[in-house]
Amino acid sequence: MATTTQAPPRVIRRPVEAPTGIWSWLTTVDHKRIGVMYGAFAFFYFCLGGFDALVVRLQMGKADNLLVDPNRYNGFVTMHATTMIFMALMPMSVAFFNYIIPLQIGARDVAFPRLNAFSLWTFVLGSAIMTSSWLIGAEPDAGWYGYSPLTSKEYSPGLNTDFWIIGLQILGVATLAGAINFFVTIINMRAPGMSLMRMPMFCWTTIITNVLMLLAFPVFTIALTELLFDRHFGTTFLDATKGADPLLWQHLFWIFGHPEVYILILPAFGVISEILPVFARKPLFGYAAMVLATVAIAFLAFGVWAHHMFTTGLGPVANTFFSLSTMLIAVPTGVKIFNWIGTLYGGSLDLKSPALFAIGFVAMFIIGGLSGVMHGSPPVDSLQADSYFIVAHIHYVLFGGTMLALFAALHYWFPKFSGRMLNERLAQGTFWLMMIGFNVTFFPMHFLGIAGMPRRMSIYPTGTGWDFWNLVATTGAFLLAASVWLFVLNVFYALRNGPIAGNDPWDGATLEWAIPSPPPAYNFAKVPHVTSRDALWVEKRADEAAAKLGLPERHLVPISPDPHVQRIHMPRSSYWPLAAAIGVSMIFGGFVTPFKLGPIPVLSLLGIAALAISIYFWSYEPVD
Amino acid sequence: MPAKEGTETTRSHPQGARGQEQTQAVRRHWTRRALSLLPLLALAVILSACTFKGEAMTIDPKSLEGKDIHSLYALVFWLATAVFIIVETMLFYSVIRFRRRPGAGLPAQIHGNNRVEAVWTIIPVVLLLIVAVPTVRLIIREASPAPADATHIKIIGHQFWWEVQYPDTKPEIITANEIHIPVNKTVEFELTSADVQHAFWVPLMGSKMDVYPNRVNRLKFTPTETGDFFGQCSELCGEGHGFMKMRVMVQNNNDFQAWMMEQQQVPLTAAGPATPGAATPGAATPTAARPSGPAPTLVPPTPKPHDAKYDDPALIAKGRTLVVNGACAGCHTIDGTNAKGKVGPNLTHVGDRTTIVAGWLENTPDDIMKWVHNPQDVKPGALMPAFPNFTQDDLEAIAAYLTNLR
Repeated sequence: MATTTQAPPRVIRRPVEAPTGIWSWLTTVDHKRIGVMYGAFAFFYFCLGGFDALVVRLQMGKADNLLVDPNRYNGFVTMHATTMIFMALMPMSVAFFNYIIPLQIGARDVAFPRLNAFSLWTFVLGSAIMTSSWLIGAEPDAGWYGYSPLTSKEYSPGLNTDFWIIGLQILGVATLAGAINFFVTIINMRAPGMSLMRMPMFCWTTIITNVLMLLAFPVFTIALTELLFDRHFGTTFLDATKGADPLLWQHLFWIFGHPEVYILILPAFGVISEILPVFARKPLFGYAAMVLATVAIAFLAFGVWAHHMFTTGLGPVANTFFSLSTMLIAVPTGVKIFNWIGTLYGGSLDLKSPALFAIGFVAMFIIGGLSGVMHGSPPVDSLQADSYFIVAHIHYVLFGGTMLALFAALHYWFPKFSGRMLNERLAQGTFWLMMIGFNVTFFPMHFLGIAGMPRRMSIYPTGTGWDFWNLVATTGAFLLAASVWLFVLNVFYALRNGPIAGNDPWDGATLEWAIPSPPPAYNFAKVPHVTSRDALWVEKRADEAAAKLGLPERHLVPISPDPHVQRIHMPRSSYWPLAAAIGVSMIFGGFVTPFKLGPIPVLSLLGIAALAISIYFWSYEPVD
Repeated sequence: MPAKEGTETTRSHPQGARGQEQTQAVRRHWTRRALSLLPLLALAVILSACTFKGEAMTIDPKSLEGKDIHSLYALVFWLATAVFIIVETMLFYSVIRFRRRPGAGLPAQIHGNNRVEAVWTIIPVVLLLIVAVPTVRLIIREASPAPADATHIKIIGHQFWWEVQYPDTKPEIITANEIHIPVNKTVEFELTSADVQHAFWVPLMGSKMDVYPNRVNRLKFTPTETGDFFGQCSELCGEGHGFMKMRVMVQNNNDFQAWMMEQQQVPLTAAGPATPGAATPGAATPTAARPSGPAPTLVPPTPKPHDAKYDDPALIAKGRTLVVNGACAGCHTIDGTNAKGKVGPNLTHVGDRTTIVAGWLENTPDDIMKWVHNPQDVKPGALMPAFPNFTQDDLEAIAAYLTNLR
């Protein structure tokens, strides 16, 4: 990198390294700290999205309800989905990528630590801007897939849709930067000996997820840019009044949107594939098939988008093609389910809370998967599309699927993050309450869909017969909220009072359990040499066999820092990722400010300057 | 408590302590009892769901096309139910049968089994073929052209109401939100939108179809029963989306013909008895004069009877002046008068409709007054402006006039 010995400009300095204090968090490039912040912010937005959901459920709790006025209701519906998908579920998966992936592949950090910090801060600022729309009463309200022409200036004249566009654009920047980072990290930074087919399943699903992000998000960026230009610079990409085809947006959105579904679910598949073998004390059944299934799902994910559009009048040829490709995707998904059951079969299953959440995931995901096959048939879908049946389906996949898996991951890796154990009894209580609350909330929505109730109605009249199951669903939503609070309580209790976890509380199989909890900044005192899949598990079993013969134990990773520890090269903290993130946020944020030069917001111009300066200083930062 | 949890969370060693074994046994017994209740609970839920009655149960369709879809749905549903039971049984069997027991050693380290994996890849393929074949056949059948004698109806979605046109009739019938169709005869809808995207869905008639500006989508169905069927816009279209309903009135052929005939005349009250010649040329044929006597009973879904005071000719005449010469005419059309606006629903026969405001209110003088006085109060997002200057007397006159446009 440094080709000359010329001193860098003196104005650029690295922040002073500090173990604590707000400044140390703002400038950190440590993947573990970034992971913790990603997780904390994502959990905060999960609670906020949950609050939106409770308001929606309260409004739907009875017929002719006047609690929430329709515009606000549309806002709550839109922000619930937008918050959950882009600001809670995805970033929470990214939190686990951040914390766990370098540990699982035996690396000391990600490939681009400062880019990682940049991803975090763009995510945080993008979410904050999106959420701040509530403060001026301009919350996005055109639905989370923002169908044109409702989002055009003519039909959505307020700032609501502008907030939605810029929030998602900023979040998209964070996602793309992170995707590049994790792709390169997994390709380049694996410990010696860890071939691709020796990687833990979570690494596999992560790298595939990041490929999906890299390929899907640019399409969304383009669609959003078209919308932004239509609204601010008078272009007519999507303007139906000037002759645009209203289906263009839908195609662009779902070419992104369907892979997005797999972006949300594949990390969950990885988590489950990590947890079940550990608690069954048996290796993952059919590892190669699991890898192939993941790749197949990702490949097919780009060929099924129009199954979100079966009722748009695409015609019989397109409907047939997308119906068959959709059904095809059920095959690799089924392989995954069966392999998980195969992993449990013949095992020695310890029903601790992470295992319970993982099994709950499999049980619920089966329901979501089967209703998904129903919608794969266009004639059947023409009854279920845009009804509560779809609402039930999406929640069985995204809550019963992704969210339960993320709770499994939180319970499984909490000892690694914190060094302490969660209270197991509270954790099991959380699980059962969540399962009951979840099913009471979402199962009745199947009945409502069958009874012809369209989604997103802000109000429904009496006499439709929809009141009872809506009330049941509303009750369930509050049980679900209670279970989340139980988890929060458990975390705060455990952080102070939980028993010390030690390195390896679950008898794990992967490298993160070979090092202390929480891991030191450098992760591995000595980079391990991997000789097999489930390296730690194999090592421990070999040690047990050796101990029986009276031979000394070997250690995959030396637990105490070795005397050369001080020479471990770690990336230094930096201000510039945060500064660049602020620049990006200003560029997009300008579009909701009134100060403009012609059509160009002043703040955006300042943002371009801030970004350019940040990148310059970032580039010339001294390398220690 | 922390201490106890500590022992639980450290690696469990088979201690053989009797008390612990007993509590474990008790716990297992309790778990088993709880588990045995689960199927009962599921049964209760399913039974209560079966007795669930609604206005728009899609599993009880009332059209040929809806029945086709339902038979495919039934196939998919029962197949999915069977797969659900089998796979969940496999899962729970594995979970319960292979729980860790005290003192258990390391289970056999099996990495996979190619034969088993091949089987559970092929079985889903076969099951999906069972769904795919009838699916594709039904897609092709649904795409077939409508029969030559089909009734053609053009639907235009507006924020937040439905315009209904009968292009084959002459003079053309234009109405709103209530779609009259004959039973046992195919209706083909041409769907388009005047503004944003909507979706046209009458659950008991089968498919829904999206409604776009700049595009015409087609949807057909053949109702098999007479009756009054509920419909609702199914794509978020703005603030008033939840209020955007419609009704489909399936009538026997005689009633439908009578309804059409009536719709093609100008109501006598429209322009008023003083100006009988004001009717649009060609609109009223001599034979189409409103039949006196019990003829209206030919059209069963009629609005509720109203207070006789709204039939006072003086009141009606006052209402006519307010509507036809006032702001209403800018947006609404009433055949036979100067009201020729195209923005809002055609009101020529509004008195014949059972509901107003896209199915949200009943068609009674009181509801008409409530609506005209302040539309946003009744239906947030409604594009009709409020008329705060109308006095109660004005509103009554308007209600009297509109109620009698029949």
